[in-house]
Amino acid sequence: MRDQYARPEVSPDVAVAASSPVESSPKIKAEVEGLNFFYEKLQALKNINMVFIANQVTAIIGPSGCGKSTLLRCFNRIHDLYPETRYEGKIILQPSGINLIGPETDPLEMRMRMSMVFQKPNAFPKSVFDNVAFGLRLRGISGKELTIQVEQSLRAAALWDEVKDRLRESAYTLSGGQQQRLCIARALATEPEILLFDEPTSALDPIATAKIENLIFDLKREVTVVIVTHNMQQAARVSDSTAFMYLGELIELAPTKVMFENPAIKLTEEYITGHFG
Amino acid sequence: MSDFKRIIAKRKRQDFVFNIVGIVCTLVGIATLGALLGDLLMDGLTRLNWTFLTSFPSRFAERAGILSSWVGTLLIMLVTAFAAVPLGVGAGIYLEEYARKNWLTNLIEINIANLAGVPSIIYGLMALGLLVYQFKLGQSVLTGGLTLAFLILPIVIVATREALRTIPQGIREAAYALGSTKWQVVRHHLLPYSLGGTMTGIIIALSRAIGETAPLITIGALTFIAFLPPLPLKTQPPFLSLEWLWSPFSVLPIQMFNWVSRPDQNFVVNAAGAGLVLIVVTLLLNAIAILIRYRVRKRIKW
Repeated sequence: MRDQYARPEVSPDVAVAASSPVESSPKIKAEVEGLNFFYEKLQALKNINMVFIANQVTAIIGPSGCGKSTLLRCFNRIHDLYPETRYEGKIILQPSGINLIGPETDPLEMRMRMSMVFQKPNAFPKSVFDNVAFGLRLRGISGKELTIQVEQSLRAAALWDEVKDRLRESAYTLSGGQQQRLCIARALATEPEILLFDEPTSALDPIATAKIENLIFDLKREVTVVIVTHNMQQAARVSDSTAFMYLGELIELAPTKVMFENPAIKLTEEYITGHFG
Repeated sequence: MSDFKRIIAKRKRQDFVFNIVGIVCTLVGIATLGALLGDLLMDGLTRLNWTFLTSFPSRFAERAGILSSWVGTLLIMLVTAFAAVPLGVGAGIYLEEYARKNWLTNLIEINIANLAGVPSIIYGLMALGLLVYQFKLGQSVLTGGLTLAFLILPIVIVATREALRTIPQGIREAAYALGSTKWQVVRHHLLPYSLGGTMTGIIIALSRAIGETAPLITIGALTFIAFLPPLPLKTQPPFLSLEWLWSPFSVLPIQMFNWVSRPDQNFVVNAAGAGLVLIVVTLLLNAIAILIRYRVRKRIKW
């Protein structure tokens, strides 16, 4: 079935040039080179090559099981928590040039440099304050500095006004949408190099979803954002570049506008127009 | 139509019959328990008073008390808890969070589950051979406490693991994603969130241990003891003393066993009194377990 679709080389240079026509030389945040990923014998990612531009939102779309979450979870090495997982290839983080998935790289360090917001809001059963403070405390921040940074993060996640009087209450007293924004605040607090979103709104209602989408759109001034979503309208609304994945392969990577109006590959078009997936 | 009615009537009769059978079954259980408690109360309450609680055993039934045995029970439970809780919780955390899942850990898992079902007297025999003869710990409070700790260790391990399993994987991933080490995840998240389940398991295990007789008789607990272990507090530095660990002991169930086996009817009444004390202590432990579970559940909802 794959064979009927020609698969042109998506070279990083093309994608870079295309994704931001205004700026002369957009900064690259991460380069993925020949990435393979295995769950035991099952190959979930096949020779992925792509780039992520700094201070942009890159959306990864594709049908269930295409490997989009697997790709995202490579970035904070969360796969390492589970046995029988294996990476091949490189994810080069710029400007440091460190290979994120290299055997010499400490997964713990990568997790401290990345932040992830998960599909289901997974606030800790602690107070609102302690949820945001946890990552900061791990980094040795305490006292007044801690209080200041927690407030900043809650403001950045557009949650401060709703929770400023209930910082000591359990996070579980918040609504689902508020909990997800709390998770975003918790992720922002540690000043990550890349903010990873794994279908962050799939458990939320449309109003809560809109709030989070606005937030993601604003966040790219501060941080590079990668968002996995199965909602194509969402990808179109929030992202600058979109990557379409299918059966563990990257099919197409292009500026979002181009991708949705004039996809280069037939399979992408069929997916976007709802013919399968 | 009439056919329908006939079938419906028949099925309703079946329903009714089963209802009655169910009530009878329930009543048999409740009535037995009620009779047991009632009998114990009638016999025991007459004997239950301050002197009974503060007297040593005696050859004369009316002068005999349970001082040495309830103090013994208390001290044994203290040793049991101090030994079984850290070991059991530690092993549970290791098996659930650290150990790789392979044939060896599977084997260990199956064995722990089986250990919980081993008759308690076997633990007594093991303790007699290992603790009394091999390690020369004597027929002491320490030996008794450790024996019961071995006995309830599997229960504590299983309870800890069950409690850890109720924590959603998303919470672990969130904590790791922020850069926690395994120990930080355990210390700041898994331990506090699983506390309710773990504590409940521990208290259930302790309330099983408190009623154990066979293993303690096997290691040589006394049935007649007219002195208390030395006090843990001293007037001279270092003020704390662990001498009581080496003291011989008796416990409530052994005292009861001893009294019941005497021909004098008055001693049987004494046994009922001691039984009441034991039941009250066990019920108290269970009440604490329920209270903790209730409080933790109110605080943490998934």
